[in-house]
Amino acid sequence: MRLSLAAALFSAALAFAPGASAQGAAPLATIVGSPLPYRIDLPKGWEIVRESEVVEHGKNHVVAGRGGPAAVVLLATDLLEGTPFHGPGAEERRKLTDMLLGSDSAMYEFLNGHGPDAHLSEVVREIRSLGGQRAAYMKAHDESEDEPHWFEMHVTVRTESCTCS
Amino acid sequence: MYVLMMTADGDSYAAHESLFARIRDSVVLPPTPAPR
Repeated sequence: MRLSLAAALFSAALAFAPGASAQGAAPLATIVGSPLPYRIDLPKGWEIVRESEVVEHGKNHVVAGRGGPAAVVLLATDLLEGTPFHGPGAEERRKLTDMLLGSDSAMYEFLNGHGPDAHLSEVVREIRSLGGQRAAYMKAHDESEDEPHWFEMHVTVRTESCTCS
Repeated sequence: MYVLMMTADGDSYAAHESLFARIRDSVVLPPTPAPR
C-alpha cells in the first residue's frame, strides 16, 4: 500500500504543531469530502487539508486535520473503480477490511507509511485497542526535526457505509 | 474501506486517545460504486 502523501501530510502536521492542549472533549464539526461524500468529524478550529493521492490505478481521497499537537489523516482507499482496494460491493469491502484487521503483518504495514525508520529511534510497534477496536500502535523518538520529539500514533482500517441512498 | 492515522506528541497522546476514538467512530463512507 502506498501512503506517501498521507505520510507527508502526517509529518507536516506534526512539524507545525504548536504547544500541547487537551482536546478529549473538544466539540466536533463534520467534514464532507468532494466529489465523493465521505464524512468525518474533526475538532472545530483544526486546520483541514484536502488532497487526492494518485496511486497505481486510481486515486485515494485524503483529508487531513491538525490542531495543537495532534493530527489525523483519513484515506478513502476504495471508492473509485480501478484502485487496488476497490471491490464490487459492500460485502467484498467488508471481507477485505476484516482480512486486513485480522492480520498483524498487514496492520504493521500501515505503520511503515510514517517516514523512514532511519529518522526514528526507540521504536515500539504493537497491536492495541483504541476504544475497544483493533488498531496498530507505534511510539518512537523522531530525530529528523530541528527539535527532536516523541510521538505516538494509532492506525486502523475499517469499513463504514452510510445507509443513505 | 478507509485507513485512519491519528497521532500526537508523546507528552499529550494519552489526552487525545478518547478524541481519536470519537473521530474514528464518526467516519462514514459512501457505498462502493457498482462495477460497470
